Amino acid sequence: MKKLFILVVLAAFGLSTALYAQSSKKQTVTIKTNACSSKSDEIFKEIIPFLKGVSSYQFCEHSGNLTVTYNPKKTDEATIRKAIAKLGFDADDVKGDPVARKKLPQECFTPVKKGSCKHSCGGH
Amino acid sequence: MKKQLFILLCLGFFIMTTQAQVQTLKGTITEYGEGGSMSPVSGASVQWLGTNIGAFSDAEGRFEITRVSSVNRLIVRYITYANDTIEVPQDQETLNIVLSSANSLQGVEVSAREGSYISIKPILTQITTSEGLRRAACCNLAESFEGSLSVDVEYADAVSGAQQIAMLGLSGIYTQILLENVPYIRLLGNQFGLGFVPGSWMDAISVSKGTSSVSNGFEGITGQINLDYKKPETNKEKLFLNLYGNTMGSADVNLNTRFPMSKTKPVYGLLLLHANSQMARLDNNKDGFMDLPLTKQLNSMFRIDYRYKEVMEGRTMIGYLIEDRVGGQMKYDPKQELNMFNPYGLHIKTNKVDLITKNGFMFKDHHHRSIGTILSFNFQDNQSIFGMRLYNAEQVSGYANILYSDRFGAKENHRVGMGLSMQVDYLREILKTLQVSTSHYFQNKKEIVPGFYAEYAYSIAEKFIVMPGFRVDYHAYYNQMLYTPRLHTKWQISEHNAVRASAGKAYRVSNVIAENLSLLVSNREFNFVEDLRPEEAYNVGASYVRTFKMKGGQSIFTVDYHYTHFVNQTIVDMDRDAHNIYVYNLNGGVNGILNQSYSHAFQAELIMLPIDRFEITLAYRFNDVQMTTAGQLQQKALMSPHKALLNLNYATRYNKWKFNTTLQYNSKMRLPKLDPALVQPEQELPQYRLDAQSPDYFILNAQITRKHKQWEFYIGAENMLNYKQEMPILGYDNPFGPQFDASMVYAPITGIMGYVGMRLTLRNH
Repeated sequence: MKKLFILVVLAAFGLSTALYAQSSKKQTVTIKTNACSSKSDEIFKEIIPFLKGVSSYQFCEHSGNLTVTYNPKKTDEATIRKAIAKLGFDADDVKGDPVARKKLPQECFTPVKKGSCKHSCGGH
Repeated sequence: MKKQLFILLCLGFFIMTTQAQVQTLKGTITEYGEGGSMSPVSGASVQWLGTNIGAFSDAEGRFEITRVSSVNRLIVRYITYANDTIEVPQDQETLNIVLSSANSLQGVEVSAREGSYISIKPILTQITTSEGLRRAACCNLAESFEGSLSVDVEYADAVSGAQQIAMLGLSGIYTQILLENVPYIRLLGNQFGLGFVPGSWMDAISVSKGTSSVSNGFEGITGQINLDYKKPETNKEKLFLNLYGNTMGSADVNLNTRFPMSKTKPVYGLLLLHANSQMARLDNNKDGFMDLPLTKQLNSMFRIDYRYKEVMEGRTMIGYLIEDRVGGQMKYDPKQELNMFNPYGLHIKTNKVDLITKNGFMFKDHHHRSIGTILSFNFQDNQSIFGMRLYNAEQVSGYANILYSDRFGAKENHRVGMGLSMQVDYLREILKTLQVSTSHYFQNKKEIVPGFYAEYAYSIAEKFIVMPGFRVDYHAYYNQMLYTPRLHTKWQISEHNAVRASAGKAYRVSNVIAENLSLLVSNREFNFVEDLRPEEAYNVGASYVRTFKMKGGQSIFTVDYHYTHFVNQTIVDMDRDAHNIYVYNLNGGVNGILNQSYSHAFQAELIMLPIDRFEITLAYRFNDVQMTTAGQLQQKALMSPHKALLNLNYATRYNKWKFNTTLQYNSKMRLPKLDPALVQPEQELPQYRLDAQSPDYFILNAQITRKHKQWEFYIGAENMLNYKQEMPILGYDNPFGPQFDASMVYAPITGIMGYVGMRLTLRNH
């Protein structure tokens, strides 16, 4: 039983370290995209948080705004915009990659009816 | 069934009110794909109940349907799922429908990240999602039950590495294992079949305890396990690669690839490949025997999904497996001559071919009416050596099932299903002991079983469901009619409380050697006391499910109890003496009358999501399994009456990190005992003796997964407390002597095992 207790403590320690590692100096940027609907968010969810230096994001499917929290030491706004454009979406003034865009479901660009911006950050 | 694959739920419909009268209803239809992600469903139809107004979903799963005033019920229909009706208030503008492959009659809410959930169908069914499957090191089906107490998994013996399951305390042979509702692991498959189902091929596992639906046959005394493989049409992974290695010298490679097969038609293919190998000869307990057999397995499946308009759809799969397994003493060489001067060895060569095709036909004007056909063909061939015994077997099986299902009544609350089935099995077995000419066993068995079934489900105001079913089969081999009545009921007391009850009968035909190959890893002799009759049992059960909201999501509390009573059972008696196995009918000629066999099984389980992305499972189960062996009613041997489980799962945001741990407690078990009158002095030596009871023990497993965009890395350990059965092989010092017995396994043979692995997933959006 002692062994077990030690293991549980170790696991808990590993967990808290992993969580703590995420909280260093951060900046946020809001990028206007042409993405709409939760379908786009499903794509963002798999890509945006895994970009180098990015810790989290929020996507508003009504405005198309993507709010990205990142570590300025590891990445910058231009890099994030480029990554979004690489998926096929326009990011502010960076046009989406046309080849990638063709492969995206049409639904990603279908405007959602006006409404309040639903909390939608993919990580809930 | 297949047709009953039903719509599970409709979630996340956000109502954007405003106008009182809405002109159209828009929405999307999606389904859960691999990893709990959603994929759009095209070609699904929606229709207002009692009207001709309908629409189909497009390639992105979107639909738009004109609103009909006064009608609020929308029928959703998609070929592989059963139809369902959803209540849509007049002022609702959008509706997002999520289909689920669970057999269900109405919706429950499922979060994409949950590892398991309870289906809402009248038969209590717990479904483990692919998300849940990844929590175990999960190289094959047997290892997938780690996080649950409904199914016990254990090594069958200390030499062959075969893993077997048990449900309700009774052996896995009493559980019907289906692949997408087609009987799958049977006869020769019983011994190693669980190891032939790679973890990364599976999309979901549905476990239901107690009596099951009559549509899949008369088997399933203790329950049913239905496996869903990844499907070409819905699989989100263009490419999936899994590499795994562990500290025991074992490696696994999985490669799945999915591709459209036609530019214009909805035809998709999926290729599933799996290879594993145990390469190292290990003997940590220094008994001269390999702790794990050397294995080489190549396993492949190619499957296609196809559809013709809204009239016909089908799934076809072809699988091929080849495996070579070598165990026994460390110095054993499979090429050596068979005699007692050479090391003891086990060598099993298996070939298996599966062909399954399922096709469904729909009726345009009757949206709930369908006809489904299932055809399956299976060939398996085993060539084995167990020390001085040779066992060769061949199985050819064919199965056909044609099913009709429909719903009727003003509220569509009557559902009828009926069908005709035919099972043909040809099994040829030879068991010989070299140099002992008297003990040859030969069986050439042909079984032809035509059957008919009908099932009816009646739901009252979506509160009560009553589902009686009946089937009749004629078993030509025994010249016996098998009558199988079954009944399921469900009472949805309130939104969060449901009670279910079931009662039914089931049969099974035993093939003793094929199902007990592990007993060949001993020098016990089989003695068939009499001709065996089909096994026959009743099962009654009840369950209560309560769901409740917690901060992290819907939490579930379940209690269930099942009682199984055997009218006839094939008793494989190891208690009479240490050198023989006696096989007889429960109430056969050996011990005369009043032999009994029954099982009481109780389980309670609590799955909590106290905060976001944190899941706790607490479970306890108690089995009281009594069986008359050696003329005495006693607890079933090698079965833990008490088990408890604690499972913790935590994921950071976006699943970047995932942490899983499972702690399982196994209570003491009864071990087969020797008749004191027959015990000879040398059997008192420690290497020949078993205690009356095994010790109790804990098993701890843990895993950490790190996710990147396309790559996932995982590292973990099993049996971290390093608990081992010290001497798993009785008489290991003389494997050709009468005391040798490797079938008395109650705990892990190997100690702590670490593993690492990685997965690559390329998705198509």
